Amino acid sequence: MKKIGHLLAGVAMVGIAAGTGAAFADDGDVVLRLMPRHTDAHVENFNPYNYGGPSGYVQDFAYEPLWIYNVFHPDQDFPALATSYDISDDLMSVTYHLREGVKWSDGEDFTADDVVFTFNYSKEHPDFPIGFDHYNTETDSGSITGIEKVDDHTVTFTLNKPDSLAHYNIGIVFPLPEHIWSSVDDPKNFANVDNVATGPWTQITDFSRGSFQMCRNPYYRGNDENPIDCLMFPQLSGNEQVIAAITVGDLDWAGDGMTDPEITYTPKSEYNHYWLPPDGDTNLQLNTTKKPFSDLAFRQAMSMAIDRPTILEISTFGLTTETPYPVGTGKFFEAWFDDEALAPYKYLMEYNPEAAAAKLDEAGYTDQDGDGWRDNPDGSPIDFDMRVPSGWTDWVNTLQTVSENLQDIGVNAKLRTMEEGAWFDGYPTGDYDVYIMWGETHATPWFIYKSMFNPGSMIPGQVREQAMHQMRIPEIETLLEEIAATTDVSEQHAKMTEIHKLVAENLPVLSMFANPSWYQYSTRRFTGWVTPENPYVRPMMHGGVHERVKHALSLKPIEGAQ
Amino acid sequence: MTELTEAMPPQEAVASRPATPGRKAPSRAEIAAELGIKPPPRWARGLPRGLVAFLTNKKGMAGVIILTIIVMSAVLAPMIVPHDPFRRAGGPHVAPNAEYLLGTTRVGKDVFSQLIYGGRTSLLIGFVAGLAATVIGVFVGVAAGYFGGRIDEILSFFVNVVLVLPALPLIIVIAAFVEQASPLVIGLVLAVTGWGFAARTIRTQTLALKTKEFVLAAELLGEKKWRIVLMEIFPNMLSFVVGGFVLATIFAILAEAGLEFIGLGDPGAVTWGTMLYWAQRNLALEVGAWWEVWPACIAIMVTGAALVLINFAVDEITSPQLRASRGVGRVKAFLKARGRSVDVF
Amino acid sequence: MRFLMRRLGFYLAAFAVAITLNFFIPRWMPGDPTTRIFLGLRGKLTPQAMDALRASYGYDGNLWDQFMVYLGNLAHLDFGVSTTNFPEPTSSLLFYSAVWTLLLVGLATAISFVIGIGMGIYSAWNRGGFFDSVFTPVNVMLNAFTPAIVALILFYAFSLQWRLFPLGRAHDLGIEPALTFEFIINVLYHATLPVLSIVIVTFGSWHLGMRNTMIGLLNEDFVALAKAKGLSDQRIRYRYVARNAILPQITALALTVGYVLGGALITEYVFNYPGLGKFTLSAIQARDYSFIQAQLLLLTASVLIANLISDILNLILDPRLRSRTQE
Repeated sequence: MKKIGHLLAGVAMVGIAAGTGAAFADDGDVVLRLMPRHTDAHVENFNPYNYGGPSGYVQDFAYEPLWIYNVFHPDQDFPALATSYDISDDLMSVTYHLREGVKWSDGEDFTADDVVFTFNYSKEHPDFPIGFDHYNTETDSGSITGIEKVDDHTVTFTLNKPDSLAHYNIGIVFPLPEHIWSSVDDPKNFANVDNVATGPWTQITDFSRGSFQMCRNPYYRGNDENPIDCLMFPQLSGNEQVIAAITVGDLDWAGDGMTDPEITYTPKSEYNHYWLPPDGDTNLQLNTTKKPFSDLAFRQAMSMAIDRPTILEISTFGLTTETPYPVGTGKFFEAWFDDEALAPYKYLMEYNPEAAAAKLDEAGYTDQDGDGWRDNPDGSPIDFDMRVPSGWTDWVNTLQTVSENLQDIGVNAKLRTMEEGAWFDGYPTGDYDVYIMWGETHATPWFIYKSMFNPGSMIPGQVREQAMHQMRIPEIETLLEEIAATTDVSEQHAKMTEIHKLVAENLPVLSMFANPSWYQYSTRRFTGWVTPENPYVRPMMHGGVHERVKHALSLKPIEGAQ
Repeated sequence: MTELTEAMPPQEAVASRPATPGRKAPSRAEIAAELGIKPPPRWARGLPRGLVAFLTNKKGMAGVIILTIIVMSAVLAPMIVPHDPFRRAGGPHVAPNAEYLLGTTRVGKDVFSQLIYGGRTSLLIGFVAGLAATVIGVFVGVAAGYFGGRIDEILSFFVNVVLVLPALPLIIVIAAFVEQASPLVIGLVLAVTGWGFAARTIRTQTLALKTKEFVLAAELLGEKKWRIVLMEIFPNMLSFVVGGFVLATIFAILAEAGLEFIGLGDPGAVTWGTMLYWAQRNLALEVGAWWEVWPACIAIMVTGAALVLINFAVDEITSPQLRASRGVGRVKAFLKARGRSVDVF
Repeated sequence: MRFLMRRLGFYLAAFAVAITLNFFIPRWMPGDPTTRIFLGLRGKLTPQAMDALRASYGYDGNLWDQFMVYLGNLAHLDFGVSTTNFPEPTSSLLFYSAVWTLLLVGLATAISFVIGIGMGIYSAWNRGGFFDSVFTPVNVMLNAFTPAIVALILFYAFSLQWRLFPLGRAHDLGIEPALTFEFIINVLYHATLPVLSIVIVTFGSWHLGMRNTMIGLLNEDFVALAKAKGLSDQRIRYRYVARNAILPQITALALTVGYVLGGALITEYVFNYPGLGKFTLSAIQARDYSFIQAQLLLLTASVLIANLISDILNLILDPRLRSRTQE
């Protein structure tokens, strides 16, 4: 037996050698290999505001924002291009104190002029999604009215109304170098091949369809503490390839979907690790403009009829996280939950088909035409479908289970899988029954409820994905304004609890579970990874997770493993 | 069928001609005995010769029997399946046992029930799409080939357009109009895009038949054109039509499974294609749940094989020279003994 | 010649219809090029950013204007810019993936043709023998297995389980395309399983086609004559029969080659091979209109040209057809 074992080990070694082999001509550089995006071929585009792909590589790693919010630890944010910010007492402006001595990667100084330029540039090019929320006098929407350069390292943004939260949207903007972009007339089509930024890795090298590297910015202020010379982005597509690449050492950091990771991933290599902390909540958006979803009793019965433990364990393969309260957000915002105040609503999250059936009986939802399915109290039949993109298998499974649960209590609910594009085109109209929908994540839940209860997102023809329930709750709208008008954290928390209670009482959406944030890493070459024991930042490496640069900078190469 | 009857006479001709002077011609039964050819079984007497040829063709009958079993189990699915194929019936990835004959899927659906039910949809779509493509193909091909001229040009133009129609985007477009890429939609698209080859083949065949004496004779006799097409041309192409139908059906079953496998179908439907899709998405083989993968694979392969066997039989009956049996060797020996060149056979 | 000119005219007409359909069919699909990006980012994109992307892709005008622009560009052989790989010109990606597809499917078709024809000759000559009775049906049955199954089996067995072959890609990460021995070996190593899976499901039809045509020819009088003249079996088999029997196969091959540029969708999908099929599937899913259009154009042109060639071959090879078509 022993011999066979050795033999197999030998074959495995050959396989691994074939996988890595002379593929990487090592010239002594420390290279971190990561893959923020599946693609069939790399293209030379490093425009930080092109969300079609390049933003995932160059944001954060090359381009730095003013401020990096540490979503896991709001008291331990990371100053970036700004060292601090002040909110004025009247909450009508935000002032950023910029870091001194920062240079762009071509040697030019970074100053307040660059920030002012970026602001004005975004106003001149509304078709270029820099992300400043400009105030629009005509529609009375947006929040920032102007920018003022106080001195070379201080800028002040003025707001149209008191807003203690505006900095959340200003701080994450990536300033552009004026001396480069001022001559770019059509920024959305600009490929930005000669990347000039301030972050730790800016220099594009070894570009090919199969991979490219982004190496050390010679002018980066933290170069002495940064052991990683280059980030390497291999071109991969398909989960098996990504998992295999981690296993053989072609990849250090990934964020791919997994199935049964304890069988298909962890055993493949002693270095393979993963952690799936809860991400945003998945909700069922019920169209409350339609019968029977317009009736609270029906929505409550639906919520109680859903077998969430099965959905967690079976339909979503045990990779999702349970959501404790029916408030539309979940464990991602756990710190905001007032357990005592929300305990009375917990029953809505518990699987109780008998109570659900009883509730329907009581509310008059009985089978009146004898077809075996319950009907509306006015006698019209209940027959609705729940829509999901056909390729999103965990959600397909989820809705399958939900439809079984509802059918079990006599409600004729059907799963309807759709092609992604059709699913996407289907919701702005406001004409649908039920959609399964992701929930957003942000530094504070305020933004989540803002999109969920924004009346502007409920207009048929322009319905947006978080407000698909189309139920206006004026009290929540008021509470949201009140939260934005104070900097008192305990007051914000108290008002947030009020919002939670209002959602639980009205149930415009049914909370299901928290999606996993996908995070795989290999300890073959680096240590210092985020782990469940040491969750110092959000660990994912895809675009939009601004902390990822801090994660990368915290990694230490293992001696001799490079 | 004519080819069959044409192929028969040489034996009788040889038989009825005295091979050596003074020797009595052997009877048909004697030749058959010497050749080791079994007479058609008693039950087959009185049946049309073509049918008998098919019924006594081993490959064809094997195909028919396999296909019958598959079709019957699909038809009787509601009576056979122990569990609802659309719902969870047990724990995830339960290995095959007495209750779950072929185990369960990752979410706990019964694989055996899915297999039987999946066959229902897959076969139905395959046959319907195959039939539709064949019917359109024959209609267009015969019309183009026989009438020629302007009609041929217009029809050939459509054939060419169809030959380059992109099936994949078309499925998404059509599915968008009916809002779901159900197996029916896929079947429809396969039928619409799949008749080009049949039409081409049939057209060529019609062109060849058009020059045959019996067609010319019928034309000279003043037969109506549609009558010539129906009575003279079409029957002579029956083997091509049947063969074309079988091939179109295989193609449709495989294409449907393939499209669903790569995720263009409706994963809520139960077909062999979606079974493969789910097995692949859930990495069934990697986690050791072979029972989620193989049943659908084997079902598709066996169905394909059965249809191929039937196609073989059709080929062999319509052109007996293709028959790959040892009987041919015996006939050669027989003829050699009688002093006739074997090579002409 | 007149016949050929007419056919050419009709192929051109079919081509015109096809390029029109190629424009409209992708746009009839629900969603647009920004949909995938939005869904991928799970809503982290504002409607303004979506509009920005749409505008930068050039898909914000009305359909008719876009169609005119498309025709104009087509006249200059400008295939536009890919949206999934923005701002890469579609033509360069098309060329990139076409190279791999030509290698993969071209190689597979060649191997499958050679094996199939060889086996066809052998089993026709020894018809009724062991090889013919067993392998003819078996090979054709292989033909009726979907590439999905064959590719999956090979992939799981050799790539995932035993790790003898790579998990995808056309060549290893880090090896740059160059005409070196190392690179070529690496490419062939990566192409082995995909090529094998295509060969397995295709060679049976060549086998059967060759066998049946050859058996037909063996019954013709000229073979008897050759025998009577005392020519060797070898000579009759190859010089007389196989040579004639292969002609219809070559016509069929011409037609097949037309479809090579369609890519081997399922095989490329399973093996993550960067060929036209995989790119097209990605493009369809991401609504990369310009890529879909360009690929369909390429496919349309090659299929129609292949048809034309096969028409010409038929004409040359079959005098009966020639006389009929000249009416």
